[in-house]
Amino acid sequence: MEKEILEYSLQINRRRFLSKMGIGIGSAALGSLLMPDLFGSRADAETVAGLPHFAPKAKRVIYLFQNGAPSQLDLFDFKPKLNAMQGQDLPASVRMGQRLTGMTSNQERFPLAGSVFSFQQYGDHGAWISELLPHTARIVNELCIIHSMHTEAINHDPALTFIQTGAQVGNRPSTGAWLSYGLGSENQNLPAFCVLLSKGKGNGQGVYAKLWTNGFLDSIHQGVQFSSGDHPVLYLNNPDAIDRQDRRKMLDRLASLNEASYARFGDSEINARIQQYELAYRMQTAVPEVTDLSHEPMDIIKLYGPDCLIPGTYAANCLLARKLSENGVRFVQLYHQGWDGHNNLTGEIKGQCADTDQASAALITDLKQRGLLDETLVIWGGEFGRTNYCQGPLTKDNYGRDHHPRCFTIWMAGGGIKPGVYGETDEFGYNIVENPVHVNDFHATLLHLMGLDHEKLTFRHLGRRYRLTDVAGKVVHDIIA
Amino acid sequence: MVKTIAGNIAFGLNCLLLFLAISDQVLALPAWLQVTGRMHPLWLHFPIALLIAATLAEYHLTSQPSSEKKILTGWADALLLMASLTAPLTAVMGWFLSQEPGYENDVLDRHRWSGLMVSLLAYTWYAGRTWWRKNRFATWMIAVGNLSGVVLAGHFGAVITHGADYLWEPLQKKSGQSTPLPDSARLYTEIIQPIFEKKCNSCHNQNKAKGKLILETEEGILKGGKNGALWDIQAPDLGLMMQRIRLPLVEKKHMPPAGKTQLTALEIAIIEQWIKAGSPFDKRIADLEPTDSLHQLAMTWLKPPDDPYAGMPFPDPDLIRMISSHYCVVQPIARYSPALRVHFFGASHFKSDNLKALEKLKNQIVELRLGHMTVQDQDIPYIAALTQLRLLDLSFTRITGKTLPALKTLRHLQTLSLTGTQIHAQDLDWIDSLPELNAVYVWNTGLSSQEMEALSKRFPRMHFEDGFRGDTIVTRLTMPLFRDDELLVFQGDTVIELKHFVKDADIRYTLDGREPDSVHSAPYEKGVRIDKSLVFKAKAFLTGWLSSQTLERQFYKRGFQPDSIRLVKLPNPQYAPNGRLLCDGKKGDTNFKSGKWQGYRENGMEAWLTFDTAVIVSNVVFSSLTDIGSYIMPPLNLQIWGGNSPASMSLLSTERPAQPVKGEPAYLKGYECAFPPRRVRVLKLVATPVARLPAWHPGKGDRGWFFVDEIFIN
Repeated sequence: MEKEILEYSLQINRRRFLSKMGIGIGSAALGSLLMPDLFGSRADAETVAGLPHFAPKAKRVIYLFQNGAPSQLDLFDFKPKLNAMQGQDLPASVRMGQRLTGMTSNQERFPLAGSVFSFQQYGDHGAWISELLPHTARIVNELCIIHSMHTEAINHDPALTFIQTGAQVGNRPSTGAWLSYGLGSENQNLPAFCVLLSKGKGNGQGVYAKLWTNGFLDSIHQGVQFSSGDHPVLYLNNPDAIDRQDRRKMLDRLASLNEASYARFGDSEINARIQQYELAYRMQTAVPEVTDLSHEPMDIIKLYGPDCLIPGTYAANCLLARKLSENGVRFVQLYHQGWDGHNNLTGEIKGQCADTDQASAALITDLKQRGLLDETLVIWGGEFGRTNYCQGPLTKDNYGRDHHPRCFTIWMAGGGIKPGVYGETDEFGYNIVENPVHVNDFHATLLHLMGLDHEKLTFRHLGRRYRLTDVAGKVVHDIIA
Repeated sequence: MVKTIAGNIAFGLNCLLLFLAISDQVLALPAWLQVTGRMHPLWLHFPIALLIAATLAEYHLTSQPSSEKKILTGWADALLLMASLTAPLTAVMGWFLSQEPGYENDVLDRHRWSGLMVSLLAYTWYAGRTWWRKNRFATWMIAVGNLSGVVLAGHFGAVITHGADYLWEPLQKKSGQSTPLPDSARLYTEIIQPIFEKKCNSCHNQNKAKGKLILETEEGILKGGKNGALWDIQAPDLGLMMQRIRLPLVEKKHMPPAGKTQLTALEIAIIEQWIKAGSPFDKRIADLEPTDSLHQLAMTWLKPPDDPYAGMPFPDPDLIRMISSHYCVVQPIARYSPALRVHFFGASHFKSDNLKALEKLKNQIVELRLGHMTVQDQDIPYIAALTQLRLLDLSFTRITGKTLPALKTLRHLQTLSLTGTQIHAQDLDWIDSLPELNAVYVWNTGLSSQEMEALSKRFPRMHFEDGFRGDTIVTRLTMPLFRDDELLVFQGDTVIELKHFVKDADIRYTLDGREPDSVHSAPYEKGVRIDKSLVFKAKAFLTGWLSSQTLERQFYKRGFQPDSIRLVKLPNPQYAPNGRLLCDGKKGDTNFKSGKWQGYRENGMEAWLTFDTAVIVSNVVFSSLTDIGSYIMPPLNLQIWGGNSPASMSLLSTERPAQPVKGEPAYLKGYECAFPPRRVRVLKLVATPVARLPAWHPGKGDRGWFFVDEIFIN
């Protein structure tokens, strides 16, 4: 009886309890339905306007990617200890059993190889720069040299994919695609994300379209490759006997067909396609204007070096990058191949530097004298570093260096960057001892400078939200002005 | 029945509320739910009133004789039910409303949680009403709980809508104009104490003195906490306080603790300098030397947050939409800013009218970029109308500078770019009348470097960007290039056309294999007509530059086509495309695997070419590849045999091509065998590959390869 009285007074018994539980769970389910799935993603609402989350320091990026991983030990990260210990084995206490690539893991010895190139300190912050980069040394006061970059991958493809897309596996959107998605294009007549390729004589590693993919984002965000021939953008020109009016009519008709099919299927890729046709139509006049170098003053030619007039060279790409950026292209990505110095590093790196040093520095000078450096972020760097020990035979004037993901040097300049030297590696140039910057942190910082919160720039795909930094990344405020 | 349903709905809503609270997800709301959310300020009055009414009813219930209780219980139940139904409804609405932007986080959280508490309490009251009623005390407990919840939630809600000081403001004594001039401000009261107040005092106050430290008062600060005095000027790290502040965030003893608002770098610097200065409580900023770092820090701290565009009227969005186009982009300089930036793109689409139209937004446009557009002198007045401009980019436009003084109206202009225009020094005489101008870009204009220097001297507050000057730099000119890069083989005759990216470059060429020079060699004008196989060389010259490297290419004339080709000795099966390949007019490149090359090694080459009608031949060219690394060498020797029939052949010519030297990169070369003209119907071509690679070669002693892609017979 006691139990019944209690039940009555509480107005609850097992059956009622269970039925109430049902209502409770149902309500929770209703709540879960209110989550973004049902009513479209919040990420879209945040980014569709194409405006930054907060006032940006930089509006555009030019990424001078040094493909194949330049040797930080021969360019920026001066380690006299290595010269002092030339030929001696890398102490196990430094390596601490960290993994090596298959190319050197079976070497019997790991003889340390100091740089054969001489270093000198430059600029207000006393940055060490090798004799290979005399032009870079001249603009060092504009640079923030980061010695403490590190990555997770140890081979080219995953490392490249990682630093470009934030993931080691493919098919995630590239940084440029994220920015195109987050900020849109300033100039509606050019793609927001342009890609320029060049090749040095050093040992090269491939570049491929996966590095500038839109991934799961709309294909309008894909990087557009500019090539070096008479037609910088392939298939852009009208075929013979088709003039601009014909093309316009054709596009209008095609758009109406596409719109009809969009109305029927609602596939956003159809819309993306319409936009791409329209963009291409506008690019037909915009691209020749931008890629025409014939009006560049002679001072500019001499600044970048005469190579800048030969299409397809790194110097030409730097000049073109400036022109694209000046014309509102959000993200210009250069790739220069040939930095993979496994064997003949000392010989190859000379050529690579001769190809790139002047033009890289020229780009900074040129942006500055146009008043554009403040709003353009320029990044120089590769996908990882190179080892302090020699791969293959070590001779007095030659050595090779294997891949080294545990530290490498990049520099950033312009848009909101505080010039200086950041991070430090140990005296062997093997491990980072101060202020490590992970690739995710680098991405977070890059987005931050562009006025985007890396945690808010998301896209829902396969049931979850994705970010460029995925689940990690911290903004490195120390290098922001 | 109705009661059961309503009760269940109340329960369900509470569960939903809990779920929302726990998952703490960001919601994306459709418009109709936003409307519901905005009804929160209306609905919230129901639970307030109903809960008060329910309390009164319960009070009545306890004080009534039991005979009348039954009817009253019905009323009290109904009131409780309605209260417990409207409370979660209001809370859910509030939750929706809170998803809209613009609400402050701290107070919002408190309001949210107290609202949630009210809703849960109300339901607890209703669900257990018979139990509560058994005990008078319990009833009071739950009633008071509910009502205080309402007061709390209501208060936090009001703080959100009306602001924190709203309620007590009329009672607070007016302090008049209280912001003192920065100079007369006392360091301690105006700067140090506010920093403590903001970042420290929530734990170190008189009521809650964590670590026995009170930072609210001078005495408290001087006394220190349980670990002793706060600073020690003798110590290199200035003692306890700076130690704690400087500890890494992860350390437990770091102050303020992780999770609390941290001190900014400026605040830390100010505290440190103040301690260093002997922690003066009375010192005014005016007492410090202006060069003193504490003085400078303090001034930075006191400076009002500057928004140069505060007070600017917001532009009409329709107007922006109307004026914007693909070629004229009008955008706010940042989110929520009235100021606009205008950027023109695409010179071929530029019209003066676009510029004229901007006048309607003259109160908002602060940045105008016209670089590379076809702006002319008569367009300047349109720009002069945009009086809010801070930045004006006229670089590489067509202005001559004559009308520039019209820009005197741009009182706020800070940056002016005239790079790459035709302006002259006298066109800038007026710029001193722009009070805020501080950067002028004048490189690549009619100004000489002396004039630029003179300008910098005359207007010292301005920076004149003179750009990079290349006059003193001597570099090598690039090679001329072939207009048609594919042209190698021709029939009859052809025209070689060149191009050079430097317009004024002087190109000289030779057709006889000699190095071109700027004196003796023929100048290139419109194209060079050639009618025989030859080596073409060209070089570019320009004063002030080193001459270019030599452009060199062998051109092949395609003469007679044999009617049949028979390979007596077959090429290596890997590179054994058919015999016709030798006369298809298609040259290969340095990629020997391209399928255009025939490769011979063990057997050497022997090919019989027959012509149906006899031809007069005086010249046969073997086009071949040399690639040392791939063991591909020039042939050891070449022989041409000819005659009227296979039976009557005679040797016409023998050649021994020069062998490459160590380290030479891969190259393409044609080996010419010339002989007195001879009438033939059959030609026999023999090539012997190198039998033993030279001693310097990595494969010394091995057989070499001979690669041929084309034979030219003339």
